[in-house]
Amino acid sequence: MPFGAGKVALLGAAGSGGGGSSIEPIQTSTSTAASLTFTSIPQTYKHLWLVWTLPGNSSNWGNAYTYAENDPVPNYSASHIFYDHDYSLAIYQTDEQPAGYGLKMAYGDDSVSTSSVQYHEFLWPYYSDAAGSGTTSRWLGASGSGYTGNPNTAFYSYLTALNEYGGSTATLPITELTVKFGDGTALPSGTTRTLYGIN
Amino acid sequence: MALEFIAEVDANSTDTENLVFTGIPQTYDSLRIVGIGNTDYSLSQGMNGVFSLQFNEQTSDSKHAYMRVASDYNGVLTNNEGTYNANYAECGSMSGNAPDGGYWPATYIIDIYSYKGEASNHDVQYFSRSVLATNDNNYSHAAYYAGTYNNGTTAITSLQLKSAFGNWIRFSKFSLYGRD
Repeated sequence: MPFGAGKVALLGAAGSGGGGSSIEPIQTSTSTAASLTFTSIPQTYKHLWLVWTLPGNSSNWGNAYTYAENDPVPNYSASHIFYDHDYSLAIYQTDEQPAGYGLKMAYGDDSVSTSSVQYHEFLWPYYSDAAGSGTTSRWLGASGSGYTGNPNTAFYSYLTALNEYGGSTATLPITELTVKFGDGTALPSGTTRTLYGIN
Repeated sequence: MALEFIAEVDANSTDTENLVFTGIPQTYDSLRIVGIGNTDYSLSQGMNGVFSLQFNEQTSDSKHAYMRVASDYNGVLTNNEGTYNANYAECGSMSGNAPDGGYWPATYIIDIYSYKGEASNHDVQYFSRSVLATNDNNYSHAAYYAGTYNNGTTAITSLQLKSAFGNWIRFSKFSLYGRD
């Protein structure tokens, strides 16, 4: 279940982050570029939360994979995705990826039609902590979940784990975040990516 | 729906078996916990760590129940289709003491419903997600949990987060939010 997007939308429209809600929109983008980078992320929140919605499109625009990274070279990292494809459960795992490629955080349909819809959300808890490899400090951890639904072909849902290793420059604190659609194909109009801070 | 911060617990000062939220307000529709953690215990591969909830810090009244759907480094796991009359309710796992070269933190999101004991036969319900990916995925997992606590009309005013094997190590911490 989303954190509370309805209240966030109201606060955002009013230009206020108050009202008792702990969720504040940092930036919303409707760019149709496959890759989007959030820069200069404030270090004043406890958690980061990204919500990404994609409407249907008449073309097949490639694998519905999402990548998220704090650095274009996320060495020393891994993701584990537990997904459901119709009635089948399976896993997809990956570790260090080539430069600029990012870590897969979502799994979905690769034949998207006008009737499809995608929803992805990712959470980076305590993203502004200092990095470390011991018991008092740590490396980055994140959780993702979402679904890609296409009544003409298949339905996917997934739960993702993502962690980054201390040897990378991509560890805590997160100051920059790039999310991109897998094969670089432009996204359909109506795509929305919003980064929230949670106090 | 709003999300309001209530409190934070952590093991910053010392490794701790139980982290406890107390004085939980009775003014929200539901609660959410967001956290990150690990234990100092040496665990073998797979989901052998146990993060559990104990409502109202009850440790012996056998009123918890839970189930789990999960995957680990090796594939999809056989479902735990129900554990009943337990003294705790599982809601997550972790990798333990330095597997794959480090103390990898697991990420947790836990939603708790019907916690105010407003009507009989409306037990506390929770839904949890626990995820972790380690280097080369040797100790990775992703899991959904669902469970209940048979509180009847007794309000939940405290909640114990238990590391069942070893203590929460010091970077572990959790935020409690109210939702309405």
